[in-house]
Amino acid sequence: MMRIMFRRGIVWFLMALVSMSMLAACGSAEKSQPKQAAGEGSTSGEKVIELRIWHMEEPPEWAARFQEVFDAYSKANPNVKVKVEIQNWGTAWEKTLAAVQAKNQPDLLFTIPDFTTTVKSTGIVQPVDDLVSELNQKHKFLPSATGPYYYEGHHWAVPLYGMLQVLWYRKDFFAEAGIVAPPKTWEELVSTAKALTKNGRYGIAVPASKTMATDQTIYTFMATSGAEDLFDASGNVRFDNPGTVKAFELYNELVKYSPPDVTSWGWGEPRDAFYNGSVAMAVEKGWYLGDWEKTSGKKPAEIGVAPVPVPAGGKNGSIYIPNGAMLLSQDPQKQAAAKDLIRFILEPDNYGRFVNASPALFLPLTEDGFQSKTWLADPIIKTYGEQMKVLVEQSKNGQLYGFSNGKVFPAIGKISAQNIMAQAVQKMVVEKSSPAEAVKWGQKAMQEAIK
Amino acid sequence: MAVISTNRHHRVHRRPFQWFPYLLVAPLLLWIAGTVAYPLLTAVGLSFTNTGVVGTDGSFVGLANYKKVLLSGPFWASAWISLKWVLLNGVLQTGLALASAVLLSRGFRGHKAARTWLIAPWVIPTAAVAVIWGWMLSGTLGVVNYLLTAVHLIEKPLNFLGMTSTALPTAAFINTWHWFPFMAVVLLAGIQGIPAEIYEASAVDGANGMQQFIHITLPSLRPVVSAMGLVGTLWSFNVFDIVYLLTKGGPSGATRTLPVYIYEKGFKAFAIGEAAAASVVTALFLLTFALWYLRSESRQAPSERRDTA
Amino acid sequence: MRNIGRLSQNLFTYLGAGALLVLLAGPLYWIVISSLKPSKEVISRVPTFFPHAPTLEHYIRLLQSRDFVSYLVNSTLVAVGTMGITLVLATLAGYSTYRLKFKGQRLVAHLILVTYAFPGTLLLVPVYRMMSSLGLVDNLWSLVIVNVTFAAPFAVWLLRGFFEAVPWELEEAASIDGAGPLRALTQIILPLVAPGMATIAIYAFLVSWTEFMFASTLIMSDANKTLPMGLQAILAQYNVNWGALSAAATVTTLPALALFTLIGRHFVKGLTAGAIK
Repeated sequence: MMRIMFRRGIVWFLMALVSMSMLAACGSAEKSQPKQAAGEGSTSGEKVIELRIWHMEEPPEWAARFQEVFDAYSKANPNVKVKVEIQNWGTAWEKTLAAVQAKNQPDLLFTIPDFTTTVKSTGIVQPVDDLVSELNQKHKFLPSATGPYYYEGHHWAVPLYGMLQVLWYRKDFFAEAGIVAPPKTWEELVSTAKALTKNGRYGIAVPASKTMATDQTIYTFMATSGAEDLFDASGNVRFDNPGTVKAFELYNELVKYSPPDVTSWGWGEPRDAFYNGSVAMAVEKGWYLGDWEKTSGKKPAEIGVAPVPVPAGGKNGSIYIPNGAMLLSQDPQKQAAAKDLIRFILEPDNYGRFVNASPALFLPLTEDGFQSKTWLADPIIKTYGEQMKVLVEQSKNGQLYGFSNGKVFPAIGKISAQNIMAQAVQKMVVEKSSPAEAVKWGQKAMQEAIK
Repeated sequence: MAVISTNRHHRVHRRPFQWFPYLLVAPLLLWIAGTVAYPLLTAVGLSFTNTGVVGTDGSFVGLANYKKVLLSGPFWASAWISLKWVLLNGVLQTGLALASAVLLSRGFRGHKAARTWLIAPWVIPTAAVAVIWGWMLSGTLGVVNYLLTAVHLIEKPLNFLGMTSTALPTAAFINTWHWFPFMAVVLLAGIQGIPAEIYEASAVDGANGMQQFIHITLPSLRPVVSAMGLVGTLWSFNVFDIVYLLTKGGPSGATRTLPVYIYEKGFKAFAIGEAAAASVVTALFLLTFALWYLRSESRQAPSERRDTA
Repeated sequence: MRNIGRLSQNLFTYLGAGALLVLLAGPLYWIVISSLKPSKEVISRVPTFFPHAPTLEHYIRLLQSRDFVSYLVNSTLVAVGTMGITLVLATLAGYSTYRLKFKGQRLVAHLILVTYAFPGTLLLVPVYRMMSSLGLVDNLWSLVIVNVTFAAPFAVWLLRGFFEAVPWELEEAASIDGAGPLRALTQIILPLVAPGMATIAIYAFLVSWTEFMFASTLIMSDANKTLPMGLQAILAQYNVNWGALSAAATVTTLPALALFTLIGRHFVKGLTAGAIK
């Protein structure tokens, strides 16, 4: 018996040894490949430039569509090899910082404005002024697209696609309740939400968890009430102002007519609730269109979208997040190749396909982008023509916290990373502070954070 | 040392064998030294600087970070939450594991299959466990609330993870579900090491199941349970991923354990020097606890252990 | 009197088994049936306990994607490597620390614990730098190295109970029979702590199987990603494709269950009974 045991032990040990040698083989294979790509032994004799790109759009379908555009570029430019490494937003911050420290950073890094402020503090981000003005001449960027990336006299990223929030509503529930038009004002929004909260269904679902989802949604309301500037001209925090308090008061009302577990809801749950009929309205970005028909079982015409309601005396607005690409490489050849790739992407025909990696969520942010035939040809864009009109219109009214009104405050990175606005919302919704108190708390917390 | 006796028994303690124990321990020690020492030293070094964003340069500030950390309300609040977390997990996991191990050591129908499927919760990657449980416990979208209201155990759906009163226990329960199989497997191996004759002898003497459990099973499992107790506590204390994935430390900080606090300080508030100081302080707490545990344990059972140097 | 005792014992057993079934099988069942439901049914307001429109679409998509299969392979390689190395290191060190006598032995036993006293998130960046200077970033070996570091100390600590449960007389008996320390170890002691070794083998495998934080920091390219990273991609940023996630979770569980069935059957068998005779 013991000898059998012993023999089995040896078998397992040998298996481990075999797999370890396989690993070693894999390891050395990996190491030898990059050398190949770097130019030695390439058959044409011409040096092949390897361009490493990091982006954070993980869903396989989205990544695949990006890859199509990258492949098209590689085909047209055989001396450039595009190597895409997809990262996870949750770990992107640490990973990028670690990579920069180890001098291992990618050449091109996709980004959002506050991520840029963090990475820029390491000194690795290269200014791209020439490229931006060249592309602006050609394609005309939306101001809300380039604004958040311009500070200290330079452009730190090239904007690539934009996202914004709108009001989604279920036309079937509206019809049932005899409501004809979507709410346009805050009062109408609250009364509509109230009227639709019955029989186990809720009028609306606004996130109240400690996540970016909550930050974005509360900010959208702040943008309509004139409180979009988190900082004043000299860089002091001005979170605590009447407009913000009004927005928080509204949010408090809306949470009353939302499912109780919104305190742990992010982006996904309100959409699921919207699709399965648990709620009648939501405030979110364009990705509500893509899976609507399939998951809700309803027809395209039955999903309604409208601009986010405004308070009395307020203005049309929403949060607007331009996603861009930062140049991190200091090698002139790679820089040239990277810039070339971006030019390629922004050509309307390529751009349409690029932006349709996630149709209606990723929106063009150049004038000719909106006219792009390939963009308009996407089945989702075509099917939801009515809804897309609203999204396109709203693109022109976007704001972003920390980057509003032509000024950029890099300290915003510390505020958004800690989801301070979301925490203030939680103070109000979970700890039952008054809106004014919660906003005061937020003001203090922000001041602490940027010290 | 001259050879005085020719008694072959003493050969085991002779000088020529001295290198052997060191040789056996060396690989592990070298491995740990190599892979832990450098990162640890870096982290400790960071704690004496005012570095903000990882990768940027900071300057030496002596013990300033330590002062900040020890005087900070949120730090102690998190320490308190961590304490509650460890206790909850310890009780739940040990209890559940012990019950399962005892159960599975009996021969009820299907116990062999149960032994295999027992490890399933352990095997599912933590991220999936967190997300799936979060979904199941959801008020509007979750199956648990649906079942509970259907049998009228509760009237309205409970927001398990979104209420300050229930968030921590719920997270502890989910963590237990994820990790108890391991302890159960260990305890089961321990129980199966107890010779059946001992149970049979006690049954002849008239002992019932409960008495056998208390007087035979538990004492025999003592070394194993005590081994798990210490490391389990350390390990449970430092759990980060499942808590963060479930609640991000919310709602309103109700689940902000020390690891969550440290992570947010380092990577969200961009104050890596302070986070490092907090880590060192935490490590010192835990080491103190470990020393105390080991000392009290060696006092309690000196006869079970060979005399060590 | 004795009949009531036996009845209550059986009651405990069956009630307990029932509770364990609900706790264990309930969520697992839910995961498996969710993986078989189409997206619309998965999020329906009224949960269905048996799929109304069962579909294999999630599994098909999963297994068709080249990536997922490679994640599975990578995870397996790393896990087996971790298991092998941990077994060797921990068993040798454990035997030495708990059954032999040498100076500083207690220090070693306690020093091993130091690895766990330090909250791990802060080690991420320094570890990355270290691996980078060794040229091991984006290499599965770096994961094996990190996993062994996390698994081995606990494994040694765990073996303590098993090593100490073996009667002390055995080595002396062996030396009387003329066996050297190495033979005593391999032929006599090891078979007796086999249940312990099996346990730590499983432990090391699973530590590696579910590890995400370091894997996600050290692995860059898609070809080298492990399962937890692949799962994360399905979770993605905005919402969860519950059907796909459930299918992926199910697929992730199966290889580990297979391993456990294999090893568990042979080792966890109470061989110490033989030794005491």
